[in-house]
Amino acid sequence: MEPLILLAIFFVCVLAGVITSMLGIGEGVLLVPFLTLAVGIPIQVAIATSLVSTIANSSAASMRYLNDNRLNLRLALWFAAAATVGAIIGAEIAAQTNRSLLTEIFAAALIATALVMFLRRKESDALQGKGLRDFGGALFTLDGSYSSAPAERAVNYRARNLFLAPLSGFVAGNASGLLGIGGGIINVPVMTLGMRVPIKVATGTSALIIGLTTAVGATIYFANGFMQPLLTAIVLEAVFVGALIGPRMQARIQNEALTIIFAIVLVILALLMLVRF
Amino acid sequence: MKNRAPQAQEVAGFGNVLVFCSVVSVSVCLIGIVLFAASASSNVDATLPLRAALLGLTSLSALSVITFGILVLLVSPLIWVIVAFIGFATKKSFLYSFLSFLVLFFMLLSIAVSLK
Repeated sequence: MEPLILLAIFFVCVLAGVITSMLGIGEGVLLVPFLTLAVGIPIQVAIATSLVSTIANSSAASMRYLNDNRLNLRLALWFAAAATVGAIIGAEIAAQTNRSLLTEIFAAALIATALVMFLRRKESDALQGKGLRDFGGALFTLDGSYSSAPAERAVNYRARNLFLAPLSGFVAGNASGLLGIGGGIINVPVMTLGMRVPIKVATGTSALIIGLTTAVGATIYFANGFMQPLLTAIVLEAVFVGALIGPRMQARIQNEALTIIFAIVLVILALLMLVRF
Repeated sequence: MKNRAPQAQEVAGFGNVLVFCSVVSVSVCLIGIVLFAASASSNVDATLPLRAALLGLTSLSALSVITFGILVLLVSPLIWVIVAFIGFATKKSFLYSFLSFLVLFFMLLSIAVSLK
């Protein structure tokens, strides 16, 4: 591989790190198509590289999100515990499932979710605590407070409908085993639409969850010898830099704009899933 | 609404562990990249079995150093969960300590089952 190509990979991966860390999603959605289609790297190596870089993304972004109170550790544990179980089951049943039909259903669900997010983009922080029953948020101390930039207004929130956290984590874990998609695109909409968590806290919390849930897959690829150390190191350094920038940029944009960006990404991913199958 | 759980102070040392693991991993990988560039090796696409990588560490082989850095990154999430487990346990928040334990248990179980 030419040094210029490695340099190009570095800059593309910085950009990927910025985008994915802002949205709390894994690198796979951007890096696997890029590394396989544009660079010509074998799919197994591309997946291994993207899994490792997702942990780098999670590490760098979580540092910032934790510092700014945009990461709710308790909420993350509810999702992660269920996701790790779901991933095992998803991988087991993957071989016996009609993945084409499942993908179409899932893609349709993503587009519907994007539409709901877009329609409710203005509600954001204003809806905190209204219209939903608590279902464990107070009992399990799922309260939090973060500073909503750019106005620097303190926003208190409480995660509602706690039962959605393990349920969503389990579905996300299954989906990663069955369809090879990350949990972020499921967890963030569930947190915002179903649990009334502000989108900035949802993306920050998701950033930590993806690191926890990706570690298993990355370790397995690593142990099976699919890792090209130099390529992986360059990609993880680039994603790390990008993930240091992303959360800072996210702090400056309005919740409404972030919701719209997330909805657009969901639609693009849904279309990509349909094209791939 | 009363804010009962400011996350940044929730588990002592959690933020420090995130920073420490990241800095160690990224720094070691960066040293490996510099060593690789200095060695003028052209074997960019090489893969390296873990055992060979660890053995190569003594001679500061570039790919071994990089592999070690990647290994530190892979282990990081396990360390985060262990720190969360201890942190919540010391605060007597046993539900979240138990959830941390569950995450750790299923992560290790998945790895063990997949590598069997």
